[in-house]
Parts: sequence; structure tokens; C-alpha cells
Amino acid sequence: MLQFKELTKQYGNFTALDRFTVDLESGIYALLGPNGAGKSTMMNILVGLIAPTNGCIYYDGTDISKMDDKFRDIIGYMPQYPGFYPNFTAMDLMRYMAQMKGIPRKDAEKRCLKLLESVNLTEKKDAKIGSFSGGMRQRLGLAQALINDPKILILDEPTAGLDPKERVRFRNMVRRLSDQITVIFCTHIVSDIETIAKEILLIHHGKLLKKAAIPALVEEMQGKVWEVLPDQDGIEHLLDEYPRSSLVSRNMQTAVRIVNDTKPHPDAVSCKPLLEDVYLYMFGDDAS
Amino acid sequence: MIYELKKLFQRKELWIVLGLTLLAILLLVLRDRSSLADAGSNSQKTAAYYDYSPEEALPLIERELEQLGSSASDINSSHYHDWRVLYHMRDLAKDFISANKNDPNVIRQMYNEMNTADSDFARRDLAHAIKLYNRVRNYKLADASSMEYFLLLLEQGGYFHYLYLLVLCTMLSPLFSAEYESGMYQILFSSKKGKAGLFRKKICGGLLCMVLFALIYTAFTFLLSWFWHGMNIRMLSAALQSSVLFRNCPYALTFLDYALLVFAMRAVIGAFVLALTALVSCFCKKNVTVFAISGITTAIPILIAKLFENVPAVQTVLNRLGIMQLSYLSNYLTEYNTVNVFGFPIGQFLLSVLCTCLLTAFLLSAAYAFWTRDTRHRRI
Repeated sequence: MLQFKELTKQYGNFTALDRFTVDLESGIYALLGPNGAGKSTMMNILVGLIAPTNGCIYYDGTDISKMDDKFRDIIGYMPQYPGFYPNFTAMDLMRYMAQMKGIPRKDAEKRCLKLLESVNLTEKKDAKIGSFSGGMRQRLGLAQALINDPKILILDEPTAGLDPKERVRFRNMVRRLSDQITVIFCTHIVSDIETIAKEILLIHHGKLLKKAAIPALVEEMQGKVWEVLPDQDGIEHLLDEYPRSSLVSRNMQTAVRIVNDTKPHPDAVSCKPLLEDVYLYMFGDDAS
Repeated sequence: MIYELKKLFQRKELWIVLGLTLLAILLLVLRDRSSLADAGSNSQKTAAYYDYSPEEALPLIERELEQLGSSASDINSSHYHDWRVLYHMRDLAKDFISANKNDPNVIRQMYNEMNTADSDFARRDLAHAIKLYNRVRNYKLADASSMEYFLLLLEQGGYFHYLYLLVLCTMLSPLFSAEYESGMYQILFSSKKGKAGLFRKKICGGLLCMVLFALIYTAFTFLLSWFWHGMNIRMLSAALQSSVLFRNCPYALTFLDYALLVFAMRAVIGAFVLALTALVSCFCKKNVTVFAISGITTAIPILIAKLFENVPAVQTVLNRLGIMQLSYLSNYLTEYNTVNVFGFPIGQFLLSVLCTCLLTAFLLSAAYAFWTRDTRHRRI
């Protein structure tokens, strides 16, 4: 179990993370929040890039700062837009990361090949990374994060740049892993975690707002999601007046979907809420 | 380690800097080739007398000089160069013969001074000097008349020491900054070794690269000196005092020891550059900035000194700031030179090396402290 206890990070007068407290067991946990919410700060502290100002993180009851390299041995981290050495081949990088993560040489070669196969990069294993597309880099980023069979996998926007087929493949891969390990999945793409996340962590201004399963969160939005079919001028007016709104297509017409506590328009009809509505409702103007 | 080396040598900037510097050096060498040719033919002439002892060679040289002419004005212009070389060789042979007579007057004089010295340091200094000179006074000297040019080119490398510094800075600058530039730092810092382990690994890799490069560069300057000035391979085991330049050197060294010392000093310089680039990398994440700062700190004093060749005061200051001075052993070994350290005489050379090593250790410690500062946990 991973426990965050009153985790705080301050940069001068600015509080990036404010007494963040949560317990995570095995499964996929999605971290949702707008830009600047504190998601990256939380992940950077977890992987050891920065130290917290206060509070600590426990893994199975032990402070990870005391575990040091033993904790780093069990984590896999895929940053957003991972950068690689352009003159290295994919296989070079995997071997290098195997070395960095202390994988014995006799096991490393086999494991590297297996992981490259799982992310569909076998044909490109001897190609220079400089020639890779964005999607290929993301897949390679995932492969290197898994090289040490981590118990905690931290993924920062892992599906950015992947086409729909690759995103489905990625989701399936992560879902298969999540039975035995803890996956912290940071994303803006709600559809990526809708079907796989065990629980959602909503974070804003460094604070944890909510931690709940998707059905529970969606249930809370009952009676707060509306759709209305206005004329063209009405659309612009509604979008301006209600920032938590979006345009949707209904029967070949454009409707405005509004998240609001009360009925926003006489013609508005209550709808079944979605996870995206939860995001809009929680993060309000920041999300719009 | 292999991958760290691969990362370093796959960088295009290294090869571009190497290529441009080699080109510049080639142009400078071509410009100066006439004076270099002179030195080269000098070595061919002296090589002809290697099979003779100075006592045997002297009458032969004098007979040849008589045949050419007694003074420069008598010489046919086509023989002038040969006459000049033989004239120089005669002086060296005479000097060598007189040196081998082991005149102990100097040492006797030191004993007298020691007995009348007015401070503990002066007594210790003279005692130390006597001990060193007594050890070397009975060395059999060889005919090393051509060795001055050889040694100077070996230690100073002509124009190539610019190459050494520039390549060193280019090679070591990306050691840390490359991880930030490529974006790999997040993945590497979160790996098992962590930031601290990665720092140690990179420093070891950098030291290995630096030592290898110092070895290659020293071998290169050795071969270059040999090519231009020639040398009998047996001279490597001859006493350093055989060379007129080092006649008063108080240390028991051979020419081979000298070459090894030059390599060691270049390695010390390389370690300093490594420490400097490591520290600068903690604050500047761009490879170009790290290269510029380390290059300016190390190479610029030498270049400016070249521009002010006719201003001795400026030259003296700038030459002392130039880190490559440490490898110019002729500055330290030509005579007995000590510094008073708490009343004890410490060789100037040893002190310079010690100070450089201490400064290098300090820079590395500071770099380590800054590098790992973000990861040190604090509790409030």
C-alpha cells in the first residue's frame, strides 16, 4: 500500500501541494486536475526528483525516504513527452535503462526484447530514436518504465500522441498489469480512464478534492447536467453565461451541454451525467 | 560505462570542434613550417653523433667545423645551416663534459650556508636541497643535446594544447547537461541509482574518458616530438639532468619519467576541467553554456597571453592563470624551488599539484551538494 501523509510542497510563498493525504492499494488510480493543480509535483516527489517541504510517503508502512534506492527499484516512471538520446537505437536505450535499473545482464536482453514486442516496436528495435514518431516515443517510454517489473507504475499523460488504436492497446496493457501493481495515471483525456480506473483522484490548487470510484462521482452529478437546443445566438449566449458548458451533436443539431446546480434554461432537459461532466463541475472556470 | 562513452562520442559538436581545431592547427603549422624544418634537420645532424660519447664526438665536431670555417663570416651560405648546428653541438658537448666532472663546490657551499642560516626554514630548505642534489650528483649523464626541443614540444604541444583544452571541454560539458537537453533526466533520476548514484557514475565515466584522452594526447605529442626532433630510444632511460635545460634539476628522474609526469599533469588538468563542468552543469542546463563557461575559464587566459606576447607583465599574470601551465614541467623542474609552508620547504611543483587537486575535490563536492540538494528530505 502507498500512503501519502500530509504531503506538502512549497516554493517560497506558493504552495504547490497542500497536505495531500491519500491511501492507494493495487489498481489503477487516475489523477485528474487542470494545469498547475499539483499533479506533476506529487509525481515528482513520489519518484524522488524533489523532496517535500513537509509530510511523507509510506510504502507498506516504511517511509520511502528511508528506503532510498529500494523504493526506486520498485517504481516505473513514464514522464510526459519522454526525451531520449536521438542517436541511440530503441534496443540501446532499453539495455541502458536495464543497466540503470540494476537488471542482471543475462536477463536484460530477453526482457528488453519482450517489452519492445509488447509495445509493438520489435521491427524498430535497431532504428535510431531520432527517427521515431511521437507515438513510437510514447510506446518506448512505457516499455522502459516496465523494464524492472515495477510494483508502482507512474504514467504522466501516457496516451498523448497515440492514435485511437494505440490508445486502446495501451489501456488494455495497463489494465492487465493493474491486478498486481499500483498504477497512478495522470491524464486530461477522460476517455482513457473511464473504463479502466478503479478510483479517480481529483486535485486542484494542490489539494485533494475527492477520491472516489467513477460510478460514485457520476452519481453525485445527477440532476446537475442539462442539455438545451437553442438557436445560433442562444448558443453563444449560453456558452458565455455558463463556463461549464460544451457543444454536443444531437440528431444533426448542435446542443449545449451545461453543468449547473440549477436548471440554466427553460428548455433545458436533465441528462445522464458522464465523467467529463464531473471534471467540468469540479474545476469550473479553470477547466473551461 | 559503455553507454556513457557512447553518449559522449556520438555528439556531433565534439567532432566538429575537433575537426575545426585540427584544421586551424594545420594552417598554423604550414605557416610555421620553415622554422619547424630547421628544428627537424637539427635533429638529423645531432643523431649522427649519438654513437659517440661527448669526449669522442668533440674532436670530430671541431675538425668538421674547421673544415667549414672558423667564423660565421667565412662560411659559404649553402653550408651556413650545418655550421650553425655543429657550433651548437660543440658548445653542448663541452658543457656536458664539464658537468660530468661532478664538481661538488655547489653542494659544499650549501653546507656552509646551512650552518650560518638564521631561520629554521632556511636550514630545513638547504638540508633538503643537499639531500636531493647528493642523490643525483653521481648520475651518469648521456648526450642529450637534441632533447631540449623534444621536451618542450612534448610538454607544451605547440598549438595542440588549445586542441587538448577545447576537446576536453567539448567532451566533458555534456556529461550532465546532456540529460537535461535530451529530456532523459526525469527517467534517469527516478531510476534505481537515483541522482546521487548517477552523479558518481558520471564522474567515474568522465574521469575514465579524461585519463584516456590525456594518455592519447601525450602519446600524440610524444610521437610528434619524435618525428620533428628525433630521439634515440635509449635516451628514455637517461637522467633528466643530461639535458642542459634540466642540468640543475634536483630530482632523480629519467626522460621516460618526465613523459609520464607530463601525462599525469594533463590528467590532473583534465580532472579539474571535469569538476568545473560538473559544478557549472548544476546551474546551467544548456550544453553550450557549460562549454562556454568552462572554455572561457580554461582556454581564454592562454589565448589572451598570446595576444599580449610583448607585454611581459600581462603575460606573467595570464600565464599563471592558465591551467595548462601545470603541465609545463620546465617551469618547475629546472632548479630547486620551494615554498615556505609553516616553516617547512615544500616543492613548488608538489604544492601546485596539491592545490589543484584540493580545488578539484572542492569543486566536485560542491557540485555533488548542489546536484542532490532537491532530493534531501527536510522535516518541519
